[in-house]
Amino acid sequence: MSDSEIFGKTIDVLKSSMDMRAARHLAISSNIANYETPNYKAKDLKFDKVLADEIRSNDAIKLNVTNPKHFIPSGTPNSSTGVTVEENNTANMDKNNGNTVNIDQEMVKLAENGIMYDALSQIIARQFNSLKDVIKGY
Amino acid sequence: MDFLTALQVSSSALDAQRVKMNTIASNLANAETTRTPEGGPYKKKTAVLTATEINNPGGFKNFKDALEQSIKGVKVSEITEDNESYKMKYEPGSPDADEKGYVKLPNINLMEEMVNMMSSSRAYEANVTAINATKSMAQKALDIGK
Repeated sequence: MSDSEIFGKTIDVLKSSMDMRAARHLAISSNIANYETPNYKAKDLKFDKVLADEIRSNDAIKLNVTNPKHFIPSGTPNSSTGVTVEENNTANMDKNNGNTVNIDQEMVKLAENGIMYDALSQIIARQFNSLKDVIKGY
Repeated sequence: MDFLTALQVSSSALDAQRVKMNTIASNLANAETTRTPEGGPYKKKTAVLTATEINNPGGFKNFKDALEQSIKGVKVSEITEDNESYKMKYEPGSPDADEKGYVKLPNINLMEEMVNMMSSSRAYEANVTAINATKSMAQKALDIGK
């Protein structure tokens, strides 16, 4: 019996999501650290796109299609999914040193990303708790 | 460990901002210094920030490469001295006055230094917030099994 038969695919998806939230946190931290560095370009991971690619390409978490009416995730599966790191090249009007970090946006992204990470960790914890209940048998 | 990389990035910024604050404090303290060991009035110092690689990037398996190249910490690469444009003040009685009665003062604009200090201090706070967010995320991940 493989792991996914016990835990299902939900935990795999949540795991990928948490990994990517953590990666995005890294990108945001880097932007905040370089808020005053001349010629630094702000970076971001496009989370939704990356997760969609991951769900399509990763066999462990791919959705089963057992009925013609099931939705098939669109796009071609791609096994060599890398994160798309997008650089913001729009010049910042209040800086004239080639730096494109908008500190307010970064702080909001930091908070949002952290909250999403918390939410994911809670959902995973609840998944495990339901399993625990089943195993205990009451 | 990936959160450790995030902490490294943020702490490199705290370090750099602290150095920057030190140069600003030095400029403010020496705004009227007319004599230095090297001779001449004090020279205004400016910390130059440069994006820098982080030593051991974390191990996200699929997207490690893309991230590894783009995640940058920050450091003070050099502290430059402004050799030009001293303020000339007419003060014939001063021991530092030249034959025409002018004293060379450092070219330090107090307003400019204060504004730089505020911006540096805000940047420091932003990085502290980022560090706290990293810590709370790591803590949440540890709480999963509870």
